[in-house]
Amino acid sequence: MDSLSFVILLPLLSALLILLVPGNYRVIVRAIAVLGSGLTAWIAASLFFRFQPGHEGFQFESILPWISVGKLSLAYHVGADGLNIGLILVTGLVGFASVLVSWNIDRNPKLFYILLLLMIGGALGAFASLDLLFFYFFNELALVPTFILIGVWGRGENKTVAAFKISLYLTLGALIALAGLLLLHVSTGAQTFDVIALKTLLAGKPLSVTLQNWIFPLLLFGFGTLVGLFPFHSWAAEGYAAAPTAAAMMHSGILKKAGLYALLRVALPFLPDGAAHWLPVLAWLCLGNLLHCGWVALCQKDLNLLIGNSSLAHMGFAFLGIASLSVIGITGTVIVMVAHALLAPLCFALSGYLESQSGTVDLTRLGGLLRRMPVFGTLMVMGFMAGCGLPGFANFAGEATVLFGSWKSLPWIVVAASWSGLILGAVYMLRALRSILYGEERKELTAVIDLGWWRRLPFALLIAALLLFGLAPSLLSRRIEPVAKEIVKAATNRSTPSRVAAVVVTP
Amino acid sequence: MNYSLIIVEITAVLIGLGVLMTDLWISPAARKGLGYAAAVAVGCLLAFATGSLAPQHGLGFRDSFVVDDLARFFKAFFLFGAIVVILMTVEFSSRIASGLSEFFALVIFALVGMLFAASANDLVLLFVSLELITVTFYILTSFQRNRLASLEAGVKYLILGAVASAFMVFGIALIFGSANSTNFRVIAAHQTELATSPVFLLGLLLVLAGLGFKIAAFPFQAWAPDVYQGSPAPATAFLAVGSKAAGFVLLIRLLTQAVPQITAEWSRLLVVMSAATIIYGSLCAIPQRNLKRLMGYSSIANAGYLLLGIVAMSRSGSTAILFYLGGYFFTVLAAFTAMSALAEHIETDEIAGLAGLGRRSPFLAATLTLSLVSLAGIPPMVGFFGKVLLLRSVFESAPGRPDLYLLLGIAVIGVVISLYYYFGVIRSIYWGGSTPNLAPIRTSLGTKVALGTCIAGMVFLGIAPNGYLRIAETAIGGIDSAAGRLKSPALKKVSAHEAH
Amino acid sequence: MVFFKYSLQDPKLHLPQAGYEAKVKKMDSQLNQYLPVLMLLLVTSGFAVSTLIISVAAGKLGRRTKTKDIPYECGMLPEGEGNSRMSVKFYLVALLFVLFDIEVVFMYPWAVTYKKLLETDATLALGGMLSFMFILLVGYVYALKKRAFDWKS
Repeated sequence: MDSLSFVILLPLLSALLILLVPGNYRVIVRAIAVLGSGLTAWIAASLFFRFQPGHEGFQFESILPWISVGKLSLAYHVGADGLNIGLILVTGLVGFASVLVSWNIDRNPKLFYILLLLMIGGALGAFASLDLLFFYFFNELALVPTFILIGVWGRGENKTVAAFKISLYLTLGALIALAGLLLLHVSTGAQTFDVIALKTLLAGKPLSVTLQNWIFPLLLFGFGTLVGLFPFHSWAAEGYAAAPTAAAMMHSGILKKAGLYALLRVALPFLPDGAAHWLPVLAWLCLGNLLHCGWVALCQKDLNLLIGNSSLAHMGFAFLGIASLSVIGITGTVIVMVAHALLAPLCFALSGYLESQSGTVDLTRLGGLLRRMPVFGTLMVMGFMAGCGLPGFANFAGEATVLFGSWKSLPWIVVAASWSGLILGAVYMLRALRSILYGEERKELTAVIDLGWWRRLPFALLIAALLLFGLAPSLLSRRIEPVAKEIVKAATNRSTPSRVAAVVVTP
Repeated sequence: MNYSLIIVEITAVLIGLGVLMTDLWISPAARKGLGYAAAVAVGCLLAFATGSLAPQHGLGFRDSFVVDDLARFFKAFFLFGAIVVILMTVEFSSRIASGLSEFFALVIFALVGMLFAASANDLVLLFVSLELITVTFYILTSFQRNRLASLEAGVKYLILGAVASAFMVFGIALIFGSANSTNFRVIAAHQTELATSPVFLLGLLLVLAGLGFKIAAFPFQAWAPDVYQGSPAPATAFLAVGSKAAGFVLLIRLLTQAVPQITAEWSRLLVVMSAATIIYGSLCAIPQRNLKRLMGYSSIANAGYLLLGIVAMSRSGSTAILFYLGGYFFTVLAAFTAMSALAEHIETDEIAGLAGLGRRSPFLAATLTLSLVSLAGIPPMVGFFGKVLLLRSVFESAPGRPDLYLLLGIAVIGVVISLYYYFGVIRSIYWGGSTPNLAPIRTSLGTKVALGTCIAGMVFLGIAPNGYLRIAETAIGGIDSAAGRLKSPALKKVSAHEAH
Repeated sequence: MVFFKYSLQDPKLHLPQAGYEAKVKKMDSQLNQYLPVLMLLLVTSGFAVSTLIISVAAGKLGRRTKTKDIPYECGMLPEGEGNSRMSVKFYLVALLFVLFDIEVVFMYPWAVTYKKLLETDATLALGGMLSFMFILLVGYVYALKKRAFDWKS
């Protein structure tokens, strides 16, 4: 079996294995989960470094016929290119880290780890799939366990509401996107969901402009909802605040990226005319993410809500890069996706540890923790600084690239507003650091214990990756650039005269 | 005349009569054994019916009885369903006060009705087979005669069923009066002339109403929640699986085989019916507190989704119906078997009564969760792929038809709503309410095997649908080759635009 | 949309082709046959309504007593609980009556057309009735063994 399929199957098989272990053998359950996800992360990392940048087409490709009935033919088809190889790597890493930080799950750990591993396997499958139905299949497989994860192991009073909200919102988004995919699938007349087949087909015979203008918004708002595109974002922060740490990590870091990934993989290259029509709208909506969510984050007293909203704000940069429709912008988007996939889980893991020690994530009730928890404090400073966009971390590389890319092709006011989003981010991140780590030491918080040696592993892993990609962003950009070029080429190959042209000219 | 055509049906009748007779000479304690024997006998019949010895293709009894791939597909479907229901009844037997053997026999007689329905090629046979099913179900639904809810279910089903039958027989009379025949082939041959006859159209409408009652489509759905709630679980399961499927095979035969042109003209009506069924089932399910009642509304909503395949009026639509029914089969049987296993330990049917089930019996909790997840249409369960196929078939027929796009939008909203009420049940199972009683629930080996089979079926069809889908495709593809077997299949596919 | 269609040339199709359209047209006009039925309906309902009206109008002239206002002046009192109880045995008798008496009614048309049936399909003519009788026999044995004929138990 090829290693890409293996990396998808490994978490799912581990889940199956855990199913067979009696529920009271907690150590064994945990050991299987740690080993399964650790091995997954290892293989994902080896795939990333074995990937040959600069080569055309997909690598580690494998195809297995699934359905061929009548005219319909579907296949399990996986492969990696610059667009998804980075995401596969971080999914493996974050999956491993999320299993590691779940050491304090006492209630029904068997079910917990099964669901978590399903999420990991589903996310990996979604990123690796080159068949759109399989992409949807895996993505939904990863989304749905969240409901039970939030319900049973969630935090806070209104976790049930949050669980329903997140499930219904995401399912609605996914179904709208599915409608778009089905419409695309049926309109081409080729009866296939295969990305490569669709690409060659649509390059030769693009869909009519009207049809594209219908399909594109379905995909944009459907997948956009999965990412938390303004104004369809209200599920996100609330859901993350209620979710157990591991689920919040997987969801905010990884699953959200599936929507962006699908936009880049499907919507832009397959529907150039639709993109021309709708991307200006996206450019304005992403300001909603950057400014509105940033502003909301600024007002939060609850650390989880703050991180959740900040993660939505960061998605604004990704959307901005997509809206710019330039090679640099899209490369930047993918770097932002990878960087944020490491950053958001890191922040949620930190907040989860903080809550396990202090019993609260209310910023007004925390303070002076740096003295008692130096290691934790250091990690937190590093993580939050990465969130501000400090050079040296991957986020800086991504966000800067996006802004460079969008400067040329988007109205100056949008780009300028994005800069102010960056400043907002710095303000709330620093404020959170100040009120948690510095200031008067609180009496009720004297019992906190710093991170032990083993507990540092997941944090170290994530920060190391952030630093690695921050210091050597070419590791990513070399892989991404050819794909970004291809996407931009396909997305600008439209049959109608450019309508963005009017927008491009800066007044 | 070729009598071997109905050999499967005759054998089923003999098994039913045999069960009835054997019961007279055995001790009450041996009745469970009789159930197993009946299941084995039906199992042998299933093996025969799916094998190569059974009649493969043919038309007989003055063209009123047809054996083709579609008929054989549904015969296998019904036989398999009957086996599971009989085994389920054996597990359920402690709650049936008297007449266990009669329950088995009635299930088999209903099965006979379904077997005939699968082959019906004539309105008279259609009516007779449906009546055989319905009359049997009048008894089955009210079988727990010391339970008021069960009696209520029986009476409601009886009254509404009788009204529906009256509609149908009146419609058949009108059709016979105007077409001078009740045979599908004759009607199909003359549908262009008949389409202009208002009497014929009225008759067809009334027959549709009767079939709409069987599948619980809006506006003939009123019986479903009460009957689902009150009936004994095996009867409900058979009603949901068998009776609904019988309604759909007849709909497929009537609408796509006998009067395709008129159906195309009436597609607006079917669109409205499908949309209303989905909306009604979904919205009414939201406030439900009783699990079996919820399943009643869910079955209405599912009838709406299945109607999508009829609305599509295409081969892929009918194939999707067959596939969806197969998935629905395992899903519903899993849910009802789990419910009847729970019934001994949890006093109420209320959803709130499921609180703590996640800890009391992880296995039953997982089964219920998986079947609800499948009903909600979430991968990797079979419900997902079934819904995708149905939606896809409508998308294929949709170009140039704004009403179909509207219907698709409604279907999507219906799925989201269904997620809400199914997940409400999952919530009760895992973290709902207070849990006064935490005694573990033990399940018998038989139940475990049955549930394991159903879960395996749901997951297998979900992740490896190819084989089953191919069978369904063949069944649909073979519809006309048997009916017109003397000539090569005279297929004529007119696109939606032209038909418009 | 038509996606399968019977072939019209199929020799197994029983009905004649010629003049079918005219026949369908005639079929609609066949409804005219029901005109007498409609007239009968009107006459009967008119009769019922008019008798009621006449009895009210004319009856006021005569003397009214409580006894006179009772619908039937002989037999059982038409009052009492709507759901008065009866022994379940009566229902049993009614069911058995349906089973063994009314069902035999099917035999009359069968006997009348038997000769004609023999010409077309002899096996079906006899076999159909025999299988019907067989099922009835099973019912009889069942009722007998379940002691449905035993009034006392």
